[in-house]
Amino acid sequence: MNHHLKRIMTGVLAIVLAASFCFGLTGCKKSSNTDKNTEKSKIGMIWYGNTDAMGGTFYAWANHAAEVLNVELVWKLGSYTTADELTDCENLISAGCDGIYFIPMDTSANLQLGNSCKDAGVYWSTSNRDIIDKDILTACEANPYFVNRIYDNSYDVCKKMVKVMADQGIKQVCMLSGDPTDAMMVDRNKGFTDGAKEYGIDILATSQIVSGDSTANVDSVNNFLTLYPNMQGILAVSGTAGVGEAIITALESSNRQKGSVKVAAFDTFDGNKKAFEDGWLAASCGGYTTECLISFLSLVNRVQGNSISKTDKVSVMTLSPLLITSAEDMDVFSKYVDNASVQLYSDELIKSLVGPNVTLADYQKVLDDWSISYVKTAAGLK
Amino acid sequence: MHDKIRKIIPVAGLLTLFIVFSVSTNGLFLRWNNIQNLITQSTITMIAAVGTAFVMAHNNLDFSLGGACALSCVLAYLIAGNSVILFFVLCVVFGVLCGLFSALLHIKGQVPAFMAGMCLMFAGRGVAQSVAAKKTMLITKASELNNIWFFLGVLIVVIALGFILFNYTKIGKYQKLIGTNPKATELSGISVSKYKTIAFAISGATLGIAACFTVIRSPNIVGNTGLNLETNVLLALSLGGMSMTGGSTSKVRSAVIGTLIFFILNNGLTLWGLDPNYVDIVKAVFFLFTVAISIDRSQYETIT
Repeated sequence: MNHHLKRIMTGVLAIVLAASFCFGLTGCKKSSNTDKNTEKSKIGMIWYGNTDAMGGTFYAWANHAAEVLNVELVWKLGSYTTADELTDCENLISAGCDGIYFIPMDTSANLQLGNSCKDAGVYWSTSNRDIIDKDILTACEANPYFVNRIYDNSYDVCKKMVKVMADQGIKQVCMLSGDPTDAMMVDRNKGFTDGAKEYGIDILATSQIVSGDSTANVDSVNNFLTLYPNMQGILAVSGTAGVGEAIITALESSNRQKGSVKVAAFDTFDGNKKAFEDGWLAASCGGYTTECLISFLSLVNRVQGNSISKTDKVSVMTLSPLLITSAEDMDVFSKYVDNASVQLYSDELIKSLVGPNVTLADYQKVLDDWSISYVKTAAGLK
Repeated sequence: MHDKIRKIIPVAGLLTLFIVFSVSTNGLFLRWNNIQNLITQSTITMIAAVGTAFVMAHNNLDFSLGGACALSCVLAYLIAGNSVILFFVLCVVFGVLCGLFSALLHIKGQVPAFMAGMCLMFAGRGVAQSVAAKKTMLITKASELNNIWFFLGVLIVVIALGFILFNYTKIGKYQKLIGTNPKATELSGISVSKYKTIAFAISGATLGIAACFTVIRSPNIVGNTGLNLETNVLLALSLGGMSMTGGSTSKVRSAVIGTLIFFILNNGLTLWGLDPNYVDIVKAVFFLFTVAISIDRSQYETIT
């Protein structure tokens, strides 16, 4: 009986297998260039997530812009490694996407995803990261499908933050530095150290931020307070992932008078406004969603057959994050920037940035206009 | 009858996915470039899963895979630098050493294998983070091997060797014996410690090979190299019908079937353009359904 049953099941399995291949063949279609010539462009969006402030805001902004421009978006969320981003990129290309947008999780992501796009004849653009490896930069710049690379001008903003400290009479600081292998942190580290030299501030000690470990960061600040009683300020290359909160917590737990130690922290964090009001925070900065949006719009523009580059080479642009130096500006930032329910760019502006007459200067102007003043105007506060 | 149906569920699940996506994606799923993508994407997990099947067969779980992958890559890079071939050889060597270390902790130290694996996972990732913070580890030459035929060739060899070792040699057969009843196996004169160690070494070797492919796909070695590898492998083996307690029903083909299910589902949902907020929910429901039907509940029955 068992043998008989086994034969029956083997036969059923064979029929199912044959049927599945037949079904598959009936659905099989040769790839052709005409497949891409559909009316609606399809853009693959590889994005880290939509649950935090910046992530949710760009998700909302891009979806809105896609509606305005009649573009289809296919999102892949949650990839934090190059291997995962590459998998997403390959699947999105298979899904028929005409362009791929992503933030490179590390330098090699530019190379790997770029090669994947080049092999498939798909355009791609990036934001929020520079390419620090020269070989990879050369290879990517030679990629004819690389449309646009936008990164934060963190260096200049960090120098401005140091100037804010210097203008308040700060002469001696300690520094929480960033990962020296991360392109973004390299710029910030250098911005702070060069700014300190330029404005006559001594950096007494440096400790590298431990990403995700609040206790370690609190310990670093406590060590600064203990070992350097004459310390007047702290420079921090990042305030996200609990670092900003850890710094303020450590200061509030110390016996120092409120505001006796000033902090300049890159990136915003919870409790920023109170930290300004209490006098701890002298300068903060944030707001990168605009560079994500411009990179996306330039990609849509290229996919629709328009080129902003006279030489068909990759365009490079920079954005200066918003510099925040008061509780009032921090309040505006919290309510209107990185808020998914607020669209800071009008439909008319979005439409004007896609078309045959758009130039690199048009995009850079939008990036250069990015400021607290712009936010107030766009939000109707001015 | 019920037992036979349960055993074909993973294959049926795979075929169902294949048919559904073939029909519903207007041919996108069956395009050659998409099939290539599936092969290259699933290679790392499948290779690691083939080796892990040996450890699971004798009733142990190996949680060290991701951290051991990062550690192997870092140590290999520190010695070999940008020399690709030497780097690959050292990856495998360090992978085996990681496996043997887990075996040492488990067998000599009497530490539960999953705990030994987790220790190695944290330690490996910590070392990788520390080194990556001070040094850029980038092997761009490795990415030149990101080629379907290389992936397919190595994959076929690993699966074939794994299949032969598991089904036709003492190494594989004794893993199943140990998983079924370690005491009886020991009393039969078979060295349980020896064969467990061999299983961990095989798992380490396949982990080393998987580490090589990780670097081919992602040439920058950083703190999160190999992230989630242990989770993907254990999920793939479960989807493939592998019993969590090992034993006589263990099959190497679980690694192949389960990995394909995992990556075909991910690929198919992208081809569908499913709202990203629902992707994880759909995956979870499918995985739960497959595992719930295919799990062997006889081990939980009371003898009356």
